[in-house]
Amino acid sequence: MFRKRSFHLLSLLLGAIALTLLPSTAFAQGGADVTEKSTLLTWIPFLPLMGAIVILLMPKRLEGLYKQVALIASAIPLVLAIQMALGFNPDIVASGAAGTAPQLQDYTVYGLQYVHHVAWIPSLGVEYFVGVDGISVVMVVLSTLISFIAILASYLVNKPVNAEKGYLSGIAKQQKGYYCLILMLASGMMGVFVAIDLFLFYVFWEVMLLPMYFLIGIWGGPRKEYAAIKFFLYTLAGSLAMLVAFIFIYYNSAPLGGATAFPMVNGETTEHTFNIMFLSFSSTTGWGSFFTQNLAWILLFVGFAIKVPMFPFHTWLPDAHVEAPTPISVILAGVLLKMGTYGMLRFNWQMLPEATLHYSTMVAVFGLIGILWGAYCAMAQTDFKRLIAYSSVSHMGFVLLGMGSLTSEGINGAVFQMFSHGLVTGMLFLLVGFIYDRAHHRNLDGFGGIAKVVPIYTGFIGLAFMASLGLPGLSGFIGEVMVFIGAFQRHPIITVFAVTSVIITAGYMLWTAQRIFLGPLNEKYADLSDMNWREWATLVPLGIPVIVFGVYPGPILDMFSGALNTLNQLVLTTAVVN
Amino acid sequence: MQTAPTDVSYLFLLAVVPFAGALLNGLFGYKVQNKHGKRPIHLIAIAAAATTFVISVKAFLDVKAGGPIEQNLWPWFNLGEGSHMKVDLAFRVDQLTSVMLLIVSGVGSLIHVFSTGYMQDEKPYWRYFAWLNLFMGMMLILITGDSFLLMFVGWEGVGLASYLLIGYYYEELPKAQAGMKAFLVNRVGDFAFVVGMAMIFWAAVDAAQATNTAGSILRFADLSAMFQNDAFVTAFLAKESMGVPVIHLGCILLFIGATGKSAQIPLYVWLPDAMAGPTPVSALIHAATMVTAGVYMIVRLSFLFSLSTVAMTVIAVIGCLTALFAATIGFFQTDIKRVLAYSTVSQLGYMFLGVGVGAFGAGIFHLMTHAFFKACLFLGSGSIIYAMHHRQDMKDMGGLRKILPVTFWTFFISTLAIAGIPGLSGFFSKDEILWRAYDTNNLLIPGEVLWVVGVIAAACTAFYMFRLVFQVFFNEPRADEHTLEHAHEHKAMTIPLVVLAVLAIGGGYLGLPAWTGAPNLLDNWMEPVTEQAKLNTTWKTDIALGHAGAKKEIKSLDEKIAKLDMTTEQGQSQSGYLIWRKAKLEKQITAKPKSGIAAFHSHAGEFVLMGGSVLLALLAIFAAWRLYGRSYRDPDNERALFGEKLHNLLLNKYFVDEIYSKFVIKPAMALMRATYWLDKTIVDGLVNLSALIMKVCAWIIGSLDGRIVDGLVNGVASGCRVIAGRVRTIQTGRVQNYILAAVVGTTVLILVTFIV
Repeated sequence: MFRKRSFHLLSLLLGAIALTLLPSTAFAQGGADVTEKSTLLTWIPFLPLMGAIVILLMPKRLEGLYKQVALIASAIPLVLAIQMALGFNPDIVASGAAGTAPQLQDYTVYGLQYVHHVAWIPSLGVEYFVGVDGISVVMVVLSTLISFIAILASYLVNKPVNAEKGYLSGIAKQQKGYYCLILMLASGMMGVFVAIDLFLFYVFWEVMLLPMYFLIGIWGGPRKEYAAIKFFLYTLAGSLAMLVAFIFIYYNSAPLGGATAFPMVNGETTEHTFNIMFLSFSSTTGWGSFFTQNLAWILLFVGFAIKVPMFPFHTWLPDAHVEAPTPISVILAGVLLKMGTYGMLRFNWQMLPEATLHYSTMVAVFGLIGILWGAYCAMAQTDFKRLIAYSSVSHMGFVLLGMGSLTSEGINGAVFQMFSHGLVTGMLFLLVGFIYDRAHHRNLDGFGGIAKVVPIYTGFIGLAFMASLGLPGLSGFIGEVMVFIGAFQRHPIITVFAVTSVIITAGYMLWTAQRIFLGPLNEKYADLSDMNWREWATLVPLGIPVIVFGVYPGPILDMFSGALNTLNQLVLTTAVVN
Repeated sequence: MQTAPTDVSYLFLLAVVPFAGALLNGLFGYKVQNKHGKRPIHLIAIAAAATTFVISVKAFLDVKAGGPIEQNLWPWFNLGEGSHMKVDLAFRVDQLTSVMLLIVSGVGSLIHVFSTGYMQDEKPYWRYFAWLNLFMGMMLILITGDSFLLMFVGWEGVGLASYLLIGYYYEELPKAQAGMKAFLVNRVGDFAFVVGMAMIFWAAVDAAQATNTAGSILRFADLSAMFQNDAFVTAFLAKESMGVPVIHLGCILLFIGATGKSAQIPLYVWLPDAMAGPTPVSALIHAATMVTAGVYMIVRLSFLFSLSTVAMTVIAVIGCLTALFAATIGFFQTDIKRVLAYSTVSQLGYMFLGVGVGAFGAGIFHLMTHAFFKACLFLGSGSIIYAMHHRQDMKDMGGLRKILPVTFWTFFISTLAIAGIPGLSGFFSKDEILWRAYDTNNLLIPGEVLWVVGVIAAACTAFYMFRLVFQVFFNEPRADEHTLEHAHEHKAMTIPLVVLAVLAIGGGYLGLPAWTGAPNLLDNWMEPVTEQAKLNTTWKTDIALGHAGAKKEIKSLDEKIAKLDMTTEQGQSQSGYLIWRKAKLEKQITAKPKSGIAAFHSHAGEFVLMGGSVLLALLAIFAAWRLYGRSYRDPDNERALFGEKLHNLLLNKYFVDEIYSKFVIKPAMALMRATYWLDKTIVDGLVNLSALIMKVCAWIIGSLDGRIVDGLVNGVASGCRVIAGRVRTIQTGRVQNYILAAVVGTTVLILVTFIV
């Protein structure tokens, strides 16, 4: 007993030291100015990977420490990401760079901050290039936060919630593998949001894919094999489309603005480039023939749409969610889905603006279908987790609708919705997990009246439901209303139909609440235990921003509004120019 | 003219104080109640409510002294350059808001006090007061928020509080369902509200860009200022969405939002069910405050609504029809709270009739008097229900006049007020609305029709309200002896009743009719808010008083138009609104009412019409006394008296719930099932099918691979083996054979080289 406790203390101490030392070294290297190069953005995605390696090397007798190591390896990136976000200067946006010659002297021309840029495979024009602009900075914070919460939540289910009552836990087996994989997954998704090199982006994207497959396939529910294979094949198909598009774009890149070749960070030049910022602002891809754009646009769009997931590519999501263990669902819904819409903004919108304008109505229509389809399907569910999964399909539809509106309000609302949905759905999946740990089923009709025995749990789920149905004053509303107001300006009829979802969403959310919590108490659950402090610990970090940013969304909006307005203008004006 | 706002720093407290109370009771109430009893719970809640009342009084005095006051907290939505969506989180109190503030915080505080008595036996006492405070905070945000968005926060927030409080007894499933119904029906209205808001935003952005008008569009104060720019209004009026002018469509959509919150046709169905909540909640939320939010919203946006003749007509007609429709449903209800609920729907209809015909001040006047007498009625019914051990069917009451004297007298006074008996508040406000409806020149239909319907509804109101009074307070007591023995009035309950009854008497003197010659205090007070709308509204009485005023106005408009240079685009763009107003005034002058009716369009006529409606109400009361005054009639008796068909139709509320269930809910459920079926079988089916096809292909290729490709490989291998087997025989191990072979081979080689 004593030994175990001393282990815990030791690990916490180590963690605390690391937490204080690492960020300062990262910042010391970069200096105070965010426009200077810094290694900060390398630390963020690679720390979890280092944690995974440490766990891999740890002997079996230290099994109890795996989770602590994992927690620390995900906590440090979170602290770093918050520091990064606080230091981020939102006034630096990619302005006036479109159509100019590629240059590497000043990254702020492309709106990049915290850049870390070194040579990698010079013969191919591949570089190790990470950095953030207004669009990605919020996503980096979200992905580090969700990773931390997810590891904390697996930490939690590692221990039976209540040993006396025999609550089972999901992740008791093969802890080493589990924590290694979840850290790899975290690395991959943090990397995706910071990569500014196509090749690097693709590497991170694939790094994230495989751990997910195993995490669902090994630690999942009864139909885990089916769900895992479906997820894997579906996503792989998307990756393939992306890869083809990437190669296509690569070979079609040629410098603009009188330059003859793309500069590289090691002083050499390259004929074709993987540099996303060059491809966006200083290469022929975005400005070349419409056919080129079209083909690349569709391939990329399909690749990312699978991830979103956009109707009709969404059916992997409910299966994956239902089978995945709680923490993995949290990551899946909280971050992975956003990678699809992030990819669209970063590649389709930024690199292929003309085709984006051409297809924007189609995107909005797909958004609308997703909103209504997801909402109706959610209403028809009897499995709590599947219901939340379908509600994700519906809510990600808002993101597409906002992006397709090509208005400042719509696109800002879309990104805010991405952030808010990450928090809210994270909460919802955690909450579903908690009830599943206790009751061992998720059948909505199998409960009844349990608000009486678990009032705190009911309170949290009330908060999450209300945020999810877009109650004003909570973060879900901010994104939704901005999307509606923005989308109406361009697609009034589509928007009118989309707004009907406020009724349907309220319908299935309240109906769910009523079936589980209200009415006469189901005596079977008369001695259900309410939330313990560890469960509190996972929910509070998500719940507080849901309230705070609902009332005061300024800090988040300021972070990306400049970048998104520029991006939106790029899409609108490029088409006019050509 | 509205003066520039003064910045103050205390308005945020209006929201924060009740929220603090809600948070305290919500988080710690359970433990506090277990440890220290119920006293600290209601002390916190009442303190919070009373504080808001004090702040409201302060705000009222400040507005009285120096015009509107405002507090800007922080930029709420700010998307930087390239977006017109710049909204600060700001509270603002002007003349209209200050009236609403006093009503909400005043009545709210009284109902908090009442609740300490009514709810004293409830176990989750803390939960009730936490939610009541939550409601107060949200309602105060609704009326003080100075933007569409902040109003919407309050709008949905009160909906949430209402949902929670209706479902307060959530262990009974029907009560939980009533809460859900309320929320969902309100969401239907919210859908329209959001679309309307987006539409008006879009049109205003375009109009502002075209005319270089600056201002934050979603802020009420800014938008109202923008609507003082003739060019902007002209551009706005020209905007169309989906083929319909935005001014009409947008206003109608906002009004649909109001029909949800304020329980008008077609979205009134949730309110009667909302009576599942505790009775003080019905008094506060579902009678005095929340349900009037729609009326408030229209008056807040009167500068916008008054520009749309179509929307105004829709509002007036819907309001008028709701007033009559709900009043008739009230006839045979047996649940005391349900009668009051339908009467609320009906009275809200009057308010909409008032604002719809362009009498925005009159709408708010009735809102105020209704808050007093209806809160009093509901609290009175609460006092009765409390005494009757939570039975609310009238069959268990009767003869309570002697047992509950304070309740009786306050209830009786309020009933007189709602029935429109001269001297009480309801009389003044209702008759101002009716008179304005008669006199209006702002609608597409003659206002006289609305007046007729309104007067009939008023008579119906008098009838069913007195039926209620006679059934409950007169005749022999029908309750069991045990109940009667314990029946008593609680002090915490009688004090609010008396205060409200006094207000129900006196509230009317704030808005005396014009023929008395006394100033209409409320209307004058609201003048700065409604004056902008008054430019767009005209009345027939003005004709009766002479054309001078209208002619003068036309002349000044003509001068304005003449000043504009019509050859330039700018001049043309500014003239549209002026010409619109001129046409309206000209219509007023030329519109000659038919000779007989014309006589009534004067102050004397107002007096006569008023007398007529009072007479009808008195007749209705007399009829109620004849039918119910001397003996109790149970539903069977009534059915025999009024005819089975009529009774059935009214008792079952015209079967509207059934119609909605059949034509809205069932199709929606079917759609939901169909969507999921398609998702499972078609969308996911295609995915699984493609997986299956892949599998089949893989199997085919795999087996081909086994036979042919691998067969080839295996064939080569076995071929080798066969050949090798043959060849092996050469290797004999005898030296002679090898030498022979070597010699033969060498000879052959030499021969070959030579030949080649």
